[in-house]
Amino acid sequence: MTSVIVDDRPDCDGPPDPAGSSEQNRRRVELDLGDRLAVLAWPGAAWLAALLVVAPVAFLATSILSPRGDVWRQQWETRLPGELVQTVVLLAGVSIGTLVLGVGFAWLTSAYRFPGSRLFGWLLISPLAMPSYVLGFVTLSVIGFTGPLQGWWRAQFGADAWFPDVRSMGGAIAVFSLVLYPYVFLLARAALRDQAGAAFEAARTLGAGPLEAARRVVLPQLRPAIAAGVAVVMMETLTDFATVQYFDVDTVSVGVFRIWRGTFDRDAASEIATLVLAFALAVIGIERLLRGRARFGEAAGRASGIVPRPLSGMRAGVATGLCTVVFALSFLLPSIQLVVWAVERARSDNGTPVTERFGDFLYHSLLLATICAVICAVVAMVVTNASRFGHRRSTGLAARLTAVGYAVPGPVVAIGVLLALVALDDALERIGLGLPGVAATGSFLGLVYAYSVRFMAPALNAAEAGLDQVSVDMTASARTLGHRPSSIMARIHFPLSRTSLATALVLVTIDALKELPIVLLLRPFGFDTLSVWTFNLASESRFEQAALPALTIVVFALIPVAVLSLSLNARSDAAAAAERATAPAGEGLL
Amino acid sequence: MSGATNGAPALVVDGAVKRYDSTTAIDRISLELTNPDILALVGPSGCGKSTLLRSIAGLAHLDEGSIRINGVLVDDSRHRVPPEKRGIGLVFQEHTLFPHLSVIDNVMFGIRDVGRKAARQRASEALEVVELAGFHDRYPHELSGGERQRVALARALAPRPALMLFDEPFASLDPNLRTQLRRDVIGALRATGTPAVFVTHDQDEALAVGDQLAVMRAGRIEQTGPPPNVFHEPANRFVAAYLGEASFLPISDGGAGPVTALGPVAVESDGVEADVAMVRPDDVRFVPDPDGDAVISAIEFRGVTWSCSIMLADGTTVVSNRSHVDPVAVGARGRVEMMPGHPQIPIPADR
Repeated sequence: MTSVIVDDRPDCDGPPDPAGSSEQNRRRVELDLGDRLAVLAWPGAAWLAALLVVAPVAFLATSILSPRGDVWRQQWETRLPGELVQTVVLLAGVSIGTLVLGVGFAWLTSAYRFPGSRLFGWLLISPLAMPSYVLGFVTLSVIGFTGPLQGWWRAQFGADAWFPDVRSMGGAIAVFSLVLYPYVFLLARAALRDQAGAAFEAARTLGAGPLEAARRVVLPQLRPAIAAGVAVVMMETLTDFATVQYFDVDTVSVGVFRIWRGTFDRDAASEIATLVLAFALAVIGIERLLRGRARFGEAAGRASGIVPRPLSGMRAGVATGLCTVVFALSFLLPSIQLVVWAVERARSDNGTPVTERFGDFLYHSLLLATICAVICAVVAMVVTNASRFGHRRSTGLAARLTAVGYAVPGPVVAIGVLLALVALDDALERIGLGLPGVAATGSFLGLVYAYSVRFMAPALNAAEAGLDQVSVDMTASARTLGHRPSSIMARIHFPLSRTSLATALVLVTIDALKELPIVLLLRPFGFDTLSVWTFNLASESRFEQAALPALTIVVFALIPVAVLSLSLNARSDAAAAAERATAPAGEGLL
Repeated sequence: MSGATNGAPALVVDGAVKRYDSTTAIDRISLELTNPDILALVGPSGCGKSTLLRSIAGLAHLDEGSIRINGVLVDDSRHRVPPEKRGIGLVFQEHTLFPHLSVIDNVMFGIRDVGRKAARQRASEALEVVELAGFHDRYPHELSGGERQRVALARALAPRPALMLFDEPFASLDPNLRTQLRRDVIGALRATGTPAVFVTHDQDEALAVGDQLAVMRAGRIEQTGPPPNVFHEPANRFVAAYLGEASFLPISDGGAGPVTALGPVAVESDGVEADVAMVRPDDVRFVPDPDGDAVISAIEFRGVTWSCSIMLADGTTVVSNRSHVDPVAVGARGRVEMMPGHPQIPIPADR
């Protein structure tokens, strides 16, 4: 408190003398530089983060303002019409597929009890750990034209026996539906668990049968959750350009990849990438439209879920069978196949140079993922703290902008980051500071930047959840006890949101390990990750060699899925959760 | 910060205005608190009392006006001192103890610029003041609600603030504990000579805690003064009704001077126009009389007393307390008399 200037008038017990009031006017607390900076620093940091996230998207979006006629004409005369049609068909097909699987299984496991229903409640989310490019190549290799299944088929029924074409739009839709339905499943089931119970029972007492009640009362209540789930699914589908290539499906994202990796024509790639962005905006628009005026997650308090009714006999058998088939196709069988290949590969003694570089690839993957996770966690921590210490409305807007990367498909982020780095490079060159290599065909810095933009949202969500455990009044108390915001962040907010931040680290690390489109577009020459290795080997039909890196990714990706399952199980016991919330931080995950 | 001169202003709020969008949360508020007095700030929810407290603490910023704490200008709507430099202590309704720190670490959190040993010593003393000397190593979740609020008080007092602020500090405690804790808190403030502002919506608490009382409504201060003065001579009907049960009788011109159904009212000639007179339940007495023109219209048991609603001849109702040993029945007739020494208080017309 050395900066507080208090005049040292002699103590006097009487009323203050008239001169006192004018004397008091001179008594001020002198604010030091730190105080003055703090007022600007928090909103400044939040807006800097928002700016860095938005910049790539903005650079990309503005590239459409000066369109290059030759690019569009050439594209329009060759691939573009087909790409647009195939993108629409793929998105529609995957939406319908995930809707049927996700909502169907959510209803089945919430409203009924049958052998294994509790177990399937979390087994059915395991496909979240299976990247589409892994399931894609396993599917093709096993039941594709050259695979063992079709070989057997032809041996049985002759060389011309009809078999559905796996390398097709239908195959791609099936694969995406199988790996992406858990997003719809999770959100629909949460809504069923948290809010639909009372309305369902009310409808039953009013004379509606279970299916009528489900259709007329429960489904409309689930609409916001389903819309959110399908939107995530469409974004994931849109961002992909690897899996679809296995199936000869040509989407606009593939178009971006082909132009960039084929010609390194930045302008042409960015113009087609604006189309991908347009699709993403359309997805968000559709989500808003479907959600209507309902608020997602509006129900609070002790709303009860639907009480499951037991199924028996045939019906129970069908329910268990359906769950088993989908779990087997989407996760169990492909995992087994990967293990078999990996073991065969390890037994065969011809260790190829590629296998020997497994350590390198794993190191690259982990290095990239860890750096991005730390960046995301730190930025998320600063941004959420800024909204606690700074002007709420402005920093809140900054936080929302910082999270915008989740809604921007990978190719858009990647090309946008390239444009932003080129602009930075130009600016630096103008003031005489070269940044060699940054804006070239790809760089590690670009990769880290793009990953951080794309995966900031889960980190922000986790950091916000962590800070929610510190009440606004608690922060206020800490300030009146003489601590600056930075000290409060370090001594109060950080220790209390440590668990949430650890979760954020894990989530971002795994997402980054699985990520393929961005690294394919932006990786520097010779920088291979597990996902790139998997994709390249699978593209050349060297499935056995691809098994080891693919399996490694699946095993890592199972970690957050397991954490999610555990937390979902724990949530059913509300009392235990409340207890955990009040227990000292530090226990729990990690 | 401590050791401020007795009688010097601990807090001066001058013309404070705080707006949120289109609503004005506090509207040209001025008040002054002298060392080491305790001010109770009372009013219905949404009247702006918490906003005023937050502005004093530095958690909200004024749009107009100024605030001085212990003679130091902390907010003149341009120049603002952050909360951590205002030298105040703050206690909230919900305990805001840091869950990852032990009791002693919580209390030490605010003691700065002294060595760890000295800080520990001061924190121990603060815990002794709130009678929690043996609780050093407990964690907040191991404490009862009352103990948590005591630790919060000790934590706020330990840095020896120039001014303590309380935002409904006892609202989440059960009534018996609340009264006890209130006495303890007042005792601790008196013992340390710390001036304080108490925000509450509880009338009884407001009357009990303060040397001064300020009644707020809709962003304005309706009246300030020592609690007995405000209670017995309310500035308007709102203040009269907010601080306790009151009956209002219309004043008419009875020829010889202003009167109500209960007799003459002493209205100061230079006072503002008074249209009603206030009568508290302990000011009037019901005397059973079969020929009386007053009728008991309702009774309610309050424990120590019966609360009787009495309909007078002119149709107005007045409430009177009656000893539990002397009950009356609904429909009983009688007369209503003023208690000796209890005048009817003329109340100016409400704004």
